[in-house]
Amino acid sequence: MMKQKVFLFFGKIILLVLLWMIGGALIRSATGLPYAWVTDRMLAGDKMLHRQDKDYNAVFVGSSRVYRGVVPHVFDNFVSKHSNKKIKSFNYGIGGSTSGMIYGQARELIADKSLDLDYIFIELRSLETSLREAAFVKNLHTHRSRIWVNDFQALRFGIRSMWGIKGADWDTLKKIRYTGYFLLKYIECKLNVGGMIRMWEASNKEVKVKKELCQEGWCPMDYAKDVDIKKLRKKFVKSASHTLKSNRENSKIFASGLQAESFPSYNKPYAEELIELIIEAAERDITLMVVALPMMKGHDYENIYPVFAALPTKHKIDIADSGANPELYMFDHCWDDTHANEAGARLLTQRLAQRFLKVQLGKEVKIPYWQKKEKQAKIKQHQEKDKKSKDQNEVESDQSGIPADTEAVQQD
Amino acid sequence: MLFNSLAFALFFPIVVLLYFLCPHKYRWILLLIASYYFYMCWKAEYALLILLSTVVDYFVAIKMSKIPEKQQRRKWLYISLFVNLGLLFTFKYLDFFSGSLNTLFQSFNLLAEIPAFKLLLPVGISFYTFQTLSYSVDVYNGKVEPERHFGIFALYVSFFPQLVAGPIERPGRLLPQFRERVKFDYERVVDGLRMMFWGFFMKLVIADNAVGIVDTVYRSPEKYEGLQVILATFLFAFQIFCDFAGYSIIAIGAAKVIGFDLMQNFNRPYFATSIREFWQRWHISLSTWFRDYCYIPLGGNRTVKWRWYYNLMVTFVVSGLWHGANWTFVVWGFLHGLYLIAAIIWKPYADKFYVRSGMSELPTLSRVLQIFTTFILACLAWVFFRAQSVADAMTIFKKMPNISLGQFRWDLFPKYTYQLKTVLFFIAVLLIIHILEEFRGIRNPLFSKHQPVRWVAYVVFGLIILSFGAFSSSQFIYFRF
Repeated sequence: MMKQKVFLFFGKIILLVLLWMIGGALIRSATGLPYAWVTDRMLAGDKMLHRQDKDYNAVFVGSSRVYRGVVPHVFDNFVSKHSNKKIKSFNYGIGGSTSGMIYGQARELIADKSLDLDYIFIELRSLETSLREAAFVKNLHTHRSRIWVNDFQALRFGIRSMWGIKGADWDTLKKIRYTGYFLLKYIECKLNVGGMIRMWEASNKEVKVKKELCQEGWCPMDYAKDVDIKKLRKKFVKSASHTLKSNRENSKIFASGLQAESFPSYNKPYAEELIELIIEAAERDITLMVVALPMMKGHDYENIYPVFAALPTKHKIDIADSGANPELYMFDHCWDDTHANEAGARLLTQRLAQRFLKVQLGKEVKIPYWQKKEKQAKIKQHQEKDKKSKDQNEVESDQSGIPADTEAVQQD
Repeated sequence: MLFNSLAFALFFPIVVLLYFLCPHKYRWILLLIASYYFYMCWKAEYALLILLSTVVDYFVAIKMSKIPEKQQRRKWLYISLFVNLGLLFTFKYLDFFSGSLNTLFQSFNLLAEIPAFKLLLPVGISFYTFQTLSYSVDVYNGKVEPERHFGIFALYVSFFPQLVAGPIERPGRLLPQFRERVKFDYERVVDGLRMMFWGFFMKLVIADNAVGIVDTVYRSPEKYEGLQVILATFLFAFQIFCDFAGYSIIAIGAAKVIGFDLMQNFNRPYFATSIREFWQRWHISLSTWFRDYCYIPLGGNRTVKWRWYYNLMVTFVVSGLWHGANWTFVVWGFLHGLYLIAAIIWKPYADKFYVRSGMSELPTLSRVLQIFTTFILACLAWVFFRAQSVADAMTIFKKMPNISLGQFRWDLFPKYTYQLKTVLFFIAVLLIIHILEEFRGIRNPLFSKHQPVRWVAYVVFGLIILSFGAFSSSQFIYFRF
């Protein structure tokens, strides 16, 4: 009898929770407020993206590596110069974006009927890095994390791709724990937990956009005033030689040409989810491109590569490989261990545009910077040869072909 | 584990379900495990301190019960006092006293310096040490029999609903309840949940939405002007009330769900008509603790006047120090002691004034004025309680007179415009409910209607908590004490 009473009581509690969920859904549909607002940067990005006079047809989505590293006007000019494509792109990168946030943001853009997009470029981020437990749990109840799971499809992406992670530190127990996190977040979303004031703020907030610094969403690291960013720079300078060397080594996996299935760590569900996103975008006449950016952290190269390898060729751009993109791994072009500086951002964007043209139009274009560097190196070689021949010195000149600034880094 | 955390949202239903499914004779084991788990979620090794306090007081009490002479029992009481107060002193006050001594040495140009130990304050240490101390003292005084079941006694010390922030229970009330056979009583369980519901509203919707404004002003008071500091102080008065009363109500409600009756800790303190009454309504379990174990042993009011005042002042200064190892708390306690002494001295004149001015003819107006005056006095004392230093508190007081009502704008704190609107609106809701309870005697005005109305109230109130609550898992203020 008592057990019956207990179960009846818990039944009533479940009913109450369901009523709260329905109420939460009603509140959201009645207020029509944005739900998954993350940061001021996202608000500013949204405001800029929806400017009537701009007519953007391409958007870059990703973390601070996109935000700081992709220069929209450089991309647009490069593409229009070397093809008849007219691109007007916008950088919608957000500092600290995780793979789930990028996925969610891309889905929102695909569904946004007020935009007329032709291309969405998304940064391929390591799921393992995005799911580091300390940060993940810390962000569990923040609006930042809600974009992961603001609807069922996003929840499925989170859980499925998380279960696809293979690694010694990802045992079943940990995956069950994460499933719990995702489900709790999903329920929080459905119940609008703590959302009202933030939504209220977001919808009434005046977001100021600093025109002199942020061009079409891009804001280089060099202009950041944040003390922490400056600390990152100092830390990087101290260990630049080692970091760049190991990044160059790790990135070679992108030149291997190996199949995804040949890697035991291949996260098939993650790749499948991305492919579904590509299809979803295609249904709305949007081409979704997945980009592997340079200067990743440690194991991210080997975590990402198998997924990248599994994606359709027409929908992926690799500028991570240091062999093909040595300039992106030079000290002079890096701000810290993961971000490009202003000069590096321009070069990175040129590379991105170059690969985009190759992948989409099959067009090979040489990058002026690299041509200039090659020319400089050749002139230098000739000058040295001349000098040596004059002095009748028989010592051979440096034939390595590595540009001067690369050598400088290696010597650091 | 915090009450306003997801961990507790999972932990509590599981414990409740298991509790009612578990046979009575094993329930103490379940509750003991749950209580230690609850505490260990914060910092596992500090559970050893609770265990130490438990073991010492368990054996001390049994030893004392075997000694008929009170005089001979005393040495065992001293052991209990030494261990419990020693723990409290080591973890809470060591750095405060060493810092104060260092300042003193410096002022006399002495080179000696006591190093800082920087020990992490164990959550709830002030609460459970006071609870075990009350047990030892009551056994010493022969008021209660010692508990011979170690498990039950360990549960008395660590009972999870009131372990980290009270109410500080007395052995005579709580210990017998662990032996009572509790059946699932729908009305009682629902009543407990309603209390928890109300506690969450106070904590999440009012207290946690006021945090931003209060912290901003009190972090650097020199940057803010009259109305801003007054508003921040007013909000702090409600923040601390809603935070602590909210916690207590959740604790009492949680205990009620599993069949335990904890003492009431708050009784609408801002409706007190005097500071004396304020202390009969605010943190009742602590003020009665200090009354029974500090004020009365000192002699209470059954002595000459100067000694009475001395007893009052000592009790309040110690109470201030109990709240935190900082001079601001000492001043806060001192101020309350001063209020009480002034009220005693002033009383004959006040009574005469009350009759002669005709106020006795207007009892409601008189009561409202008394409530208002008491609230202002309490708020002035809160300035010391919240300020980071006595100097900061003085800065706040200097800023307060620069006020004009025309200064009020919703964007007085640009970052917290919506929090300000939300918190002021819900403070108004809280006050209306309290007015109905205080003046009309309506109990639980939100939940006492017919079933359909009650369900609508549950749904609406739940949605308010969920939508407007600040769910950043912020700690309860009294966890620090």
